Amino acid sequence: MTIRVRVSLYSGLRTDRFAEAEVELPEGATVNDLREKLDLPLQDIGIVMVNARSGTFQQRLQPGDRITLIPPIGGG
Amino acid sequence: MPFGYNGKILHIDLTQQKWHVEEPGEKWYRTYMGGSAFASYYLLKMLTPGTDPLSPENVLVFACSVVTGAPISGWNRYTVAAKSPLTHAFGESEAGGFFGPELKFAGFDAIVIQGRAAQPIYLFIKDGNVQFRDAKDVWGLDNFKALLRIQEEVGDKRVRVASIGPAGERLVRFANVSNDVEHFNGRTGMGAVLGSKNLKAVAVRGTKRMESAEPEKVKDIARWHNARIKTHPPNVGLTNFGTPGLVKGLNATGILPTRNFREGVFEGADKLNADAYASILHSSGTCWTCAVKCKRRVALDDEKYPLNPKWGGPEYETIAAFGSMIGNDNLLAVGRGNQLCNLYGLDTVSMGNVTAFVMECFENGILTDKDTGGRKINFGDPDAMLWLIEEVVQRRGIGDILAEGVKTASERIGRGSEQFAFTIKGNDLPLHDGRGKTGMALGYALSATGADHIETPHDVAFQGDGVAKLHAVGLLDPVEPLETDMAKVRFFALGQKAWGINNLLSICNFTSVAIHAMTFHNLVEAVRAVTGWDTSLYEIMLAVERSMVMSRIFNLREGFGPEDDKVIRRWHEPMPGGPIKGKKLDEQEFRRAIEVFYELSGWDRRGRPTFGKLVELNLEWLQPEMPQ
Repeated sequence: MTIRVRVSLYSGLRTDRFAEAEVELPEGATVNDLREKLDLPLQDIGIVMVNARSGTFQQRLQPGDRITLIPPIGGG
Repeated sequence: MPFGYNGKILHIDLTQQKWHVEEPGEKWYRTYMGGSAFASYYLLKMLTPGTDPLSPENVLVFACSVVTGAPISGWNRYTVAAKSPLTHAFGESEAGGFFGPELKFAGFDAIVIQGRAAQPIYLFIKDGNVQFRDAKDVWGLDNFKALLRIQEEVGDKRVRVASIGPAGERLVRFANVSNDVEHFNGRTGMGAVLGSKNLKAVAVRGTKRMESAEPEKVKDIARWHNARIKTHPPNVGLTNFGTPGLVKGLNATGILPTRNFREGVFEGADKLNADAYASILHSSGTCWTCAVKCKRRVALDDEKYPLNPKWGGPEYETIAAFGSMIGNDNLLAVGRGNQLCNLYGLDTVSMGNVTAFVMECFENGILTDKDTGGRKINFGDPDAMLWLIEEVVQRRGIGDILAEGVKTASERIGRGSEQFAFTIKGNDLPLHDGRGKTGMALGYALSATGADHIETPHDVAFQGDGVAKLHAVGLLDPVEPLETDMAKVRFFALGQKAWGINNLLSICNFTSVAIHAMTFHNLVEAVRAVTGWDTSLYEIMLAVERSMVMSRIFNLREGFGPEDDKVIRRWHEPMPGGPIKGKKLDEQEFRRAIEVFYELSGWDRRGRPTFGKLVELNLEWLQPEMPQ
C-alpha cells in the first residue's frame, strides 16, 4: 500500500527538484522517509511544516498531507 | 519579595571607586523587563547627547532580564550597552554563555558603570559585594590568559569573567567583550568602551539560585521545551551541525555574501560548510542550562593554522566574514582568524568587513602595497586576513586607520574608497544579503544599532505554510522573501516585535519564538510562572516596542534621522549572478516601505515617535528629549 502527499519545497531546496509536487510513499512513511526519498541531506532542511503546523522528522504521514520544507536560515 | 529577579541594580563609579545599589521597584521592572530596555533607560537618563563614547562620561550597562537564570533552555543571555564608539549611536550587543545567570545569582539584575579608573582595574562581584581590583597583572593579556589569571587571583575557578583583550585596551572601535573566550558581545565596539574606562574585566560569582513564583510549572515547561528541542527540525539542525549548517543553504539560495557583498554565490562554499567543518570539529559546547548545544569547538595540530579547542570555533557569521566575504575557501584559516579575534577581543563580523573593504580597494588600485609596507591584500588570500588582524590589534601602519572602522577609515583614506565602504549607521554588515531577504533589509535599515541581523526574523523561514509560526501575532499571509510590498512591511512590523521578545528578555532565539522550539503560548506561561505576574503576550510585546522607541529616541537625540534609515548602495544594484540574478532593492519602493513603517508605528515623517505613541508606551518623560 502507498500514500500520496503534497510536497512544497522552498528556496535552494528546489534546485534540481521541484517547487511543488505530489509524492508517493509507502504507508506508514515518516517525514524522514520523504526526506530520504527526495535525497535531501538533513542539514539542508531548517523547517518542516505538516498541514500548516510545525512537524518533526519522526512524524508519520497520512494520505493527502501537505508538507512544506524550508532550508535553514539566518543567525549565528 | 520579587520572583525571577533580585530587584537590585548595581551602580559603579570607576573614578571614585564607589558603588551603590538601587532598588527601582516592581513597577519599573514590569515596565522595562530587561536587557535592551534596561540599558536604554539608563543611557537616556544618564548620558548627555554628544558625549564622546570613549570619554569617562559614557555610561556602560550590563543587563539581564527579569527571567534570566530561570532554568529554561536559552534563558541565559545578557546585554552590554553604551553609546557606540563605532557608530556614535545606540550601542548594544547580546551574548549567551554563563555570565548572565551568574550575575543574577550574585545578587544583581544589571550593572551601570560610569567614570574612568585612574589605573587599569577589574571588578569582582560576589554574592552582593563588589571589589575594585588592581589589573596590573591582567592588563595586556589576551582574553584566555586574562580569564585564567583572574580565576587564580580571586581563587575561584567557577568565577565567570567578561573581559576585553588587547583590542579593547587599544580602543579598536569594533573591539568586543568576551566571556569564557567562547561567547561574545560582539557588535558595536563595547570592548573599546571598557578599554576607555580602564576596565579590563567584570568577574562575577554567585552562589544562590533565582526563585520562581511557581517552580513546578517552570520545571514542567522546561521539560516540555527540552523534549521538543530534540525533535523540532530547526533545533535538530542546530544540535547536529551548529550554525555552520547555514552556509550551504544561503549559498544555494544565492545570498551568501561574497567578495564585499558583490555576489551571492561563492564557488568555494563547499569547503566552508558543515561537512567540511567536521574535519576540524573537536566537540560541542553549550550555554547555561541549554539543551540545544549549538556551540562548536575546533582543534587542529597544524603548524600554520593551529586550532585550540579552548579558544572557540567559528560560527556562521565568522565563516562567511572570513570565508566567502573575502573570497577565501580555506576553513582552517577561518578557524585561525576566529581564534585570533577571540583572544584579542575583536568582532569577527566587523573584521571581515574591514578585510573585504581593503581587498576591494586593492583590486581597484585605490590602496596598493605602498599603503601596507609591501603587503598585498587580495581577495582569496587568507594570510592577508590574518596579517590585517595583527595590524589592527597592534594599531600598526594601516591597521591604525582600519581600527577606526570601515566608515571612518574610508573617510580618511579618501581616493574614492568610500564607494567600497559598506556600513549602515556606521555599523558593519552581518553576513546576510538584503536583496534576498527584504524584511531583514528593513531590519538592517531601521535597527538603532545599525546593520543588525537579530533585529527581525529572516523572511525565508515564513514562506508558504512556514508563516504559521507567526499566526499567534496576527500574521496570516505567507512571506515572499524577494518582495518589498505592503505585506512585507506588515511582516516586518509584527516580526520585529515578536522577535524582539528574545532580546528584551535576554533569551536566545535559537531556543525560542518564532522559529525554534518555544511557542508564544508557553513562553508567556513561563514568564508568568517565573515572575508571578499575570502578564500576556500583549504586555510583553508592548515592552518590546517601548524598548525600540527608547533606543530610537536615543539616536534622534544624537542627531540621527530618516536619512540614516537606509541600506547600502550595492543592494540597490542588481545581483550579478546566481539564483536571484538581477534582483535588487528598488530605492523608491524601499523608501516607501520605510515611510509606511513610520506611519504604522506612530512616528512622524521625520521618524520621530509622536507624543501619542509616547503616551501609549508610558514614555511621556522622553518628550523633552525629542529634537524639534
